[in-house]
Amino acid sequence: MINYLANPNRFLNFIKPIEFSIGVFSFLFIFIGLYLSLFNSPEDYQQGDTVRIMYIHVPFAWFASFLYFSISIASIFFIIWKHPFADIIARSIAPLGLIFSILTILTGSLWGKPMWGTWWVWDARLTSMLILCLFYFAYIGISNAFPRKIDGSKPAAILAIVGMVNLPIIKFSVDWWNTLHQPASIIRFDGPSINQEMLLPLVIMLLGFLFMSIFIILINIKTNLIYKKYQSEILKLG
Amino acid sequence: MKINFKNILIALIEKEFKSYLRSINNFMNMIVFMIAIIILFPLTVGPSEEKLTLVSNAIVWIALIVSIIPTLDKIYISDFKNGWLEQYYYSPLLLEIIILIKCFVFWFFLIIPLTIFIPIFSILLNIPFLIIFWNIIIFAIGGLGFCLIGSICSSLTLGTKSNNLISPLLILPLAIPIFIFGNGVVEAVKSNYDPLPNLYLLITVCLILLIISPLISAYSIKIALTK
Repeated sequence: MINYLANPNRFLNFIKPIEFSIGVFSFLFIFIGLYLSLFNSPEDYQQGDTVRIMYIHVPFAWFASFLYFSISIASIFFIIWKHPFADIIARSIAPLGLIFSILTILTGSLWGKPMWGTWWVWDARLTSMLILCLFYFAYIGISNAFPRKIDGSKPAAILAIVGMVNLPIIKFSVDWWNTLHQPASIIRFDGPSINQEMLLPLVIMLLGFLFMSIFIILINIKTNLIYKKYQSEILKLG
Repeated sequence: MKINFKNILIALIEKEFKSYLRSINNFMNMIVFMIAIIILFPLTVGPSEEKLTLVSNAIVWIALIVSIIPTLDKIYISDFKNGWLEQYYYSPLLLEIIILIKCFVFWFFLIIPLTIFIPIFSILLNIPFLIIFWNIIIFAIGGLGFCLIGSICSSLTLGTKSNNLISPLLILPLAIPIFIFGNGVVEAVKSNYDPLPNLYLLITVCLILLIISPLISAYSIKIALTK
């Protein structure tokens, strides 16, 4: 399957019929999720209405780290099998991940001001998220820093693999250190400790974000492929 | 053909030593930069003793790190431009070993001399002697970690258009464990706890870097050479 799709043309043919439906799905899920989370979910007994920012904060945070993980996987594929398509995928994911990590920090600080009383604390979870953001910046910076764009692929891939050490630190920072950020309440050994009525809109939002990020990444991949074709056409014309 | 590794090693170290002696100007720049930062802090924070004792240790660290970072990412630049790196690549010695030697020489000629200046600046900021002593030890150990991180970053950015902008961005996230554990040692000393656990963690970080860094740097130098 992966072998079959690794060819850019076959990949484009494969996604052509499903691309539009992925966009529709993402719109539908996010719409339903927003309705449920804003109007049809209970208030928190401590936080009141401010808990509703959680429904976008958590998906942003999850996908910021998950997209970094997928960049690293694509980079490992690129380093080992030297397939140029893996590099294109990694490059297409990076800007979206950067935006997600910035939005995680922004939504978190918007929630933190009324709840904790500060916009920002130098706490383990927040700092590791900021470092993830820095890694995204470094990845994008180094992949575009060379006179020929393709020269930046391998250094950027190495950086992405090195930066993978940060991901378990983000996940377990709330368990290893005493932080102001609340501990994990969804992925735990003893099952989710979150209220059922709050879990449903969150899961729908997560699905919506999954479809949205796939949709945006597909558009980025198509753009990068077209750019690459255009460059090779220029080379042919000489 | 029999290869005499000892001669190669001695020649390498001699070459590095000479190149550092000839670029003593670089070292003086670092010192001037450090002095500028040390002078600027009391002027901007305010000269009151209470405020300065809270941040004095941080000021010394910031001065050291900020003055090192511009030189850290230039470990391989001159070798890359002169063609030395290709000679290293084709030499019978492993590229990883050459990188280790370069890192150690860099550490010996730039980091160790800087530790002499720590007491001078610390006395200017009224830091107690016990903490000065620990600062020197931490900086000598953590400095090796800085060199190894700098080796990764400078080899990754070989041949870039503008390498000054990316390197600090690459160095900072990788160097954070060194800052955390180094600060942990000083905090422990300040509040009369045992500083050794944090020191061991700092040494662990440097040892891990000692294993990983030559491998990554050698791989990225090979990439840079095949461009």
